[in-house]
Amino acid sequence: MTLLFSLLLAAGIGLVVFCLLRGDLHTIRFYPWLCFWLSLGLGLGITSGGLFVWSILFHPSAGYILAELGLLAALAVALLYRVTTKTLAAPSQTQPGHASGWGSSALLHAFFYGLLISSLVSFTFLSAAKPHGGWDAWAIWNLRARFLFLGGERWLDGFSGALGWSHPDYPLLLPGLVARAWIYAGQNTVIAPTLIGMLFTFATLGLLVSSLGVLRGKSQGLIAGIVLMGTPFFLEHGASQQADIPLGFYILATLVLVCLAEHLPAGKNSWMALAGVTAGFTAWTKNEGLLFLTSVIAARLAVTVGRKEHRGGPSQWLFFTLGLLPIVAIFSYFKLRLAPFNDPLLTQGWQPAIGKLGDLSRYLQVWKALLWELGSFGNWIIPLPLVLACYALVMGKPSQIKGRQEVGAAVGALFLVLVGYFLVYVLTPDNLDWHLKTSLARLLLQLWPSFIFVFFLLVNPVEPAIADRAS
Amino acid sequence: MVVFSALLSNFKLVFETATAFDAERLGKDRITLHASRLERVKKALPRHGTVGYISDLKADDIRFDPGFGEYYLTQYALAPLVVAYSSDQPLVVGNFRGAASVASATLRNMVDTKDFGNGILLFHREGK
Repeated sequence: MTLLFSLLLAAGIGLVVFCLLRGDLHTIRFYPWLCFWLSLGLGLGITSGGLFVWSILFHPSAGYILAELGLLAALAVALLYRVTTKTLAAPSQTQPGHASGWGSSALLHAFFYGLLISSLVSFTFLSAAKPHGGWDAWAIWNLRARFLFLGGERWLDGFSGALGWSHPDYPLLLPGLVARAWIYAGQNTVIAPTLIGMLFTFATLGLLVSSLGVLRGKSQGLIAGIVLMGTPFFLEHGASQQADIPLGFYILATLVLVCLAEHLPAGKNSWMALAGVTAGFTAWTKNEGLLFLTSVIAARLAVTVGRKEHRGGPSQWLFFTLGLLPIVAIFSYFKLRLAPFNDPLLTQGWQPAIGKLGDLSRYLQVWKALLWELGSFGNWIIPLPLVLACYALVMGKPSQIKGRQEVGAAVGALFLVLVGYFLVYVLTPDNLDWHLKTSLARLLLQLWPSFIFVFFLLVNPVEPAIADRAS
Repeated sequence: MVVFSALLSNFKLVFETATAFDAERLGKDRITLHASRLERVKKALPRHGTVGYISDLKADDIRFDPGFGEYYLTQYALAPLVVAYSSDQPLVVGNFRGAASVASATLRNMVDTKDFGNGILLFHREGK
């Protein structure tokens, strides 16, 4: 029960912060599910960062629970003050996509909920078989959580040089969340990381479905959700308690928020502030998040700078930065003061790196592995990327893409991250074959929910395509 | 086609996980079993600090050898104690599968050997 309470409290904090940044309660009324999943992600990130700050100031302890309750109360008072003293315009009632025909919609709902039950069952079986999660979960993430929870005043022992193999430079969002749940529960039960893994897995699904529901219509959202649940590796990896699924969630959340800023212009700056927060959480989750953070900034700059039709650009960047700053402050403190600088990629020296950059066979090897993994990383029976390619050919793209610039920024950000991953493999000091085999599928999985999101933004929704053909 | 492909893959997963599930194996996964092997020695160790680790399951490169997994498992089980893969500590946890290895370990300046059963030993290093 205390575990559930801890997660509800995190969601509550996220919801209040969400409303505070939006400055109204209308958004929740109009888009309850979308707001819920975004708030949950916010709350989990904020409470993880909160525990880290508390630990630096004092040390990880049960006193943090009181601090969180105090934080929630203070935020709630601030929200009450804001909504009662400032009246903002209600969000514009943008057409939430195309209404589905009742027949196809009912069938889609049936498939979606059938798959949801089946996915929950699979997740439960997978978690029961490996209660401590996959290798990286216990050797890295949950190990660090144990130092946070059990270490008391000696929690920094978890960054000892003797543990270099456990990557003490990896950010602490996930270990912080697990340790926080254990602090609430009063014991290091395996249920905590399992529940957190489950939350991120199904929050990713919920966010994908609800955001596309708002941006392109309910059917489009449901089909996207079905595609995600039809990716066994997504569920398997979610149950393995590793940080790739949480990272995937925050990447998706950032792209969704950037698109919402264009689609729901009321309170545009607040969407960008929230996007700044979630982009910061990607870096607080995994080192790859830094690559995403720089990619999303670069891609958005590329599609917006110098365009006359893009109003309010500087203020949006200001709010994005304001959202990002607190997380960057936490992340920077961690990286500069605690995390040892031992990334072999960066410490290998210039000569070996330049040698690898000039070796064409490495590019070819990475390219071949990438092509292979693209069709197989999901553990599908029929490769879904191939099926989606056929689907796109049949459905076509809309004559006019809504929020063209934001979709362009999302595509650009994902492309830049892929290019970054590609170069990391070319430069890796590890055995390239081993490195590709042990990590490429996970890296692609981090981007998969966002790829599905962008794909269904770009492809014609079901009903208009049928109507077009009929006319 | 999209929905059908997704259904097929998802149902394959639920079928595989359901058929592979064995209720009798609950709580008998590798990590839990290793933790229970170390339960007794854990009580004899300090709560914090660093202890050494020696084993007859050795490898040159720890990242590539699955045999080295037991060292990681030991660290996970004994946290928040830091377990260094070295005998150069006042207290050293031994994880052995063969009696010959135990004998050779005791010869390397190790004294006050205490056997906790299941191949788990605790050494006090001489001069430390």
